Amino acid sequence: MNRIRRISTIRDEVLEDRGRRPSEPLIRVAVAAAVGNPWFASSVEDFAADVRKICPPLAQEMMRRGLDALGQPVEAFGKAVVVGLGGETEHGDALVHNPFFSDVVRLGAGGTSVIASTESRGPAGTAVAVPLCHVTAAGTRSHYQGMTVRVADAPEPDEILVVVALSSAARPAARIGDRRTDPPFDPTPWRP
Amino acid sequence: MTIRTIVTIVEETLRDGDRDVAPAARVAIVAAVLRNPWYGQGFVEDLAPGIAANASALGALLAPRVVDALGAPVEAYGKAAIVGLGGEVEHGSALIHTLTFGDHLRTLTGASSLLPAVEKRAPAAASFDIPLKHITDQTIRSHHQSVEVRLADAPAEDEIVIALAVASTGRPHARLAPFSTES
Repeated sequence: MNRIRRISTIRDEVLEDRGRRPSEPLIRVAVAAAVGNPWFASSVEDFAADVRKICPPLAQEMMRRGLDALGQPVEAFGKAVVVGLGGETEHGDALVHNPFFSDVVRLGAGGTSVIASTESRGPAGTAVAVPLCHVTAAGTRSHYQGMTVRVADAPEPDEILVVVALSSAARPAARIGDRRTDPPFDPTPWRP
Repeated sequence: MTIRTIVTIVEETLRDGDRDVAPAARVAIVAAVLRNPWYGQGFVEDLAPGIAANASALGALLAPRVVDALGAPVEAYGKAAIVGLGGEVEHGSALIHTLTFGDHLRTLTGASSLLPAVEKRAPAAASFDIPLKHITDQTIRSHHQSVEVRLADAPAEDEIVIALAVASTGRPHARLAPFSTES
């Protein structure tokens, strides 16, 4: 039940952002795979054996398409899951928060960072904003970006939509500095 | 012509009706988000100069990209024009309902039939269904299909989304009787 039913590859080529033209177009790619929820209609406590079997080929299949569509080095990456309404959010977390998925993504992307993610449950057609961060320095502010993805007929109730997003560069008009350039700030008077 | 973003989508269907689809059914879409050439000019009576300046260039940009993205012989095709709320639906129709737009794709694919189309005005993130039909015979029933597209931030009020869609095959597991068998 964990076969891929549908896989959508989406490539955004950003030539201009509010009148600013980056020297090279910014390329963002998302690969969204609708896969059967391996734990649908069952109460499973231990996901480890299934995850070890399912995740490496899934991540490889998705990354092959993603890297091919990006066509250049990966500077930022992210992932997301939307679990169909017959499953638990935990099923989606199980599929993407493990080395068998994430290390294949990092290997393909040449990355070492934690991969930014979101996890949700929803009906088919749920839009998901996939968060991306820098592949080796997650705190790099210029590379925080999002890519909104939606597959019209997925996830079905017994499916999980798994998404990986890759970006070629920083935001086209990044200009919010970095933690090294921020002026000193004492939050104490603002303690919530 | 000012293009902000070009979006390419490839959808591969590997299973349908609980059966494998082999080879996978592929649909590719390429959409350009461009500034509406008539935005902010009030009611423009003669659209011909804007059509001449943009339609052929758009076809030449989108056609090779969508054929390349499909990566398989094209059997069905369609097009779309989604106009941001600061424009008229006529502006989108102007850019796609001209042979100077569609002939780029027809030439590349050996096609001869009409390109079915969707045209509408809509806000950004509106979803739209692009109709596809067979590239040489619009009566081939197995190839009637649609693909849904939605761009999160387009079209803005002053923009138009122009898209081409192509398919490698008809519907997965198509099994309706052909048109010619009906009396």
